[in-house]
Amino acid sequence: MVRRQDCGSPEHQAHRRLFLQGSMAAGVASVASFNGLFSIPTLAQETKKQGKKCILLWLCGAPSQFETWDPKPGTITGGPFGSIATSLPGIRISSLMPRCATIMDKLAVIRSMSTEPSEHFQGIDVLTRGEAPRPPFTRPILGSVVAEQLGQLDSPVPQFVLLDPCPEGNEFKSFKAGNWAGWLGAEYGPVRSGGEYAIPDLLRPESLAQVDHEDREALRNFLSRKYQNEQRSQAAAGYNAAFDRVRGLMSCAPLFDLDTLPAADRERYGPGAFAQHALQARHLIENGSTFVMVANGMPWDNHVFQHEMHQMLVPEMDNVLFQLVTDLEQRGMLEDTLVIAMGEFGRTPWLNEARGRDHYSKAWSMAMAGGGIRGGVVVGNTDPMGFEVTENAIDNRRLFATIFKTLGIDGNEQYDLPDLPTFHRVEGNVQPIEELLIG
Amino acid sequence: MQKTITRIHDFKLPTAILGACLLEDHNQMVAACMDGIYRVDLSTKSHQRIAEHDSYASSAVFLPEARMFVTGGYDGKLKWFSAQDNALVREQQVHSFWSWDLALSADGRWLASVTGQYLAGDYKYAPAKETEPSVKILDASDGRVAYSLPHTPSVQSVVFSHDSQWVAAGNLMGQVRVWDVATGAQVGGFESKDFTSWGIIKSHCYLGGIFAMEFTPDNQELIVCGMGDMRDPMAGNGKQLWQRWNWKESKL
Repeated sequence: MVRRQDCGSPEHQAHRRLFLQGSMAAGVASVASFNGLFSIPTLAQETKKQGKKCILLWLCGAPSQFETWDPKPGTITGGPFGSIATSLPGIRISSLMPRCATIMDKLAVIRSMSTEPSEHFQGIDVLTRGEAPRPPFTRPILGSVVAEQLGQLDSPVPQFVLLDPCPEGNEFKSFKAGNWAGWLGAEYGPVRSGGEYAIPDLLRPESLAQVDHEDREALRNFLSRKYQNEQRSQAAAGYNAAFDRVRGLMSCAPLFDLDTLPAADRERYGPGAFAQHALQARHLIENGSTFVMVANGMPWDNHVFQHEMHQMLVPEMDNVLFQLVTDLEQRGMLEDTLVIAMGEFGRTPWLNEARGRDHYSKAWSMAMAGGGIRGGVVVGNTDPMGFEVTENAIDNRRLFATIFKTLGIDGNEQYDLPDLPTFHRVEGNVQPIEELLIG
Repeated sequence: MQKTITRIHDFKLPTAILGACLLEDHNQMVAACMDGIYRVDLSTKSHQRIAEHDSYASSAVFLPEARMFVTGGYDGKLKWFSAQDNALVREQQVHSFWSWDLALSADGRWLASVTGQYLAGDYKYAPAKETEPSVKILDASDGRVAYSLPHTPSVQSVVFSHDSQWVAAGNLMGQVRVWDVATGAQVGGFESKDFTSWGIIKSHCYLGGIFAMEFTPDNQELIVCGMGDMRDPMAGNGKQLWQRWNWKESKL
């Protein structure tokens, strides 16, 4: 669906002024509201009724395709791990992934990802937003788009949640400090939780009676909304929005408490932070969130001792993906919940002197399941050493076109401002990967 | 006593060498490499790829009396070869995961091989408990397993004392355990936290550990080496670190 917009609203004109002055800093953009950029198309409304949701297992730092979805055992580039047969005849994956091997008929694997950026920040930008930057406007991250298009804005449960316990993360840290929601506005940014980012003080203190708490909130709400209306105060409106969000968070505090999750489930997913937060992601999706991004810093960037680190990271990811897909299927949610497991690029076929693999964006792999994605499909191929894509190269645009299509979001939506370039949700009028789409 | 080390040979093999041993005349070397096992003639600087493991070859030792060499590999196997013609004499699956390192006792009687996969054991990625014995002591002549000994994965280095009485194994977490070879009883151990890094910057997981060890000539102390602490293990910026421990007076 292509929809040209030229709304000319005062708010957009203000942004255009800033644009022309070249003064739109990222911080400004992050709190500005661009709700009118894309209207919610009919298709997305329909999808909202169906309740499409998404969990992104963000494998930040970039996992090796050789030790995951595209093993090359016995070659000089292949590394020390072998390959194993899967439930798909003729398809083998790394021996580090025995659990996913049993559900390959439910997974879609792209072995022919080929993208431009080979540095982390730029790669994260492109693989979470779908496109390289066009300053000064900041394209919203996938989670913000999904939250805006498919989320329940009146829900007390945050629609976009980032679970990441690592306060650092190098380039990912820089990225996290930036503007995630872009032109959609800060209300579509993520609520962050996990580890040191457990959301504190969500529970009402016992010393404060519920009736007193409600009385105080009613008084605060009356006075601030009166001030907001009489003074036409954007600041007061912002404070009120923040209070609404806090009130929502207080009402769903247990969702952010790992200790409330069943012990058997926690054991099944595994003890590591990434695994525990993947389980929490399932819990959040079950209870009303629309998009949950699970990360754990940038652990996949194994420039040193690649195989010594991947021997731990890959089995954890293998089990997490298996448990998530299996759980969602058993709950009847897989059809409507897209699970994506990917990083920002892949890793070099060769090892460096520290026995690490460096960044490689020419030929890498990722996986998806559910949410309308056809399982049992392996897209593309690479040469015997894994240097080049030999069949059906997929770039970030086609990947995002596919993700949006399967979630029922119009990838061709566009937005025009007078005298400014036209933005599309997915640039280049590219087509989704049809073989991955069910119906 | 001061020893001077002088480089007398300098050449390259096609892929990285993870372990090596000199053969009887010290003019021949067996190298365990990422793409197989190489026999190297040090005098002519020529090499020949003679065999392979199903994964990287990780270590090699020479049995002088039997005139055989034994290699360990990331396929978890040990392989015995004739030093005369490189023929495969015996092959044995010792671990289900990698043989990280292999050592031969000074009397030539015992082999020790160490294994262990680093898997997440808790929220902050301390290693999970072993799923198979991490240390195996074998009769070098026939491969019979004499002892299967416990440790915390991954166990990356192993060495015998010079009198063949003790065997020590060091792991990812800087923990060293020492056993009596005759009985399999643990007789000592220590933990040095200086070799292991928990990633603060990029990753909440562990990297490093003890990469190699050697008993002092009197067997009273152990010299251990690895990488010093790094805030960002992925950057590989740890400095080479050596420590000397009185293993008998330390506890683990």
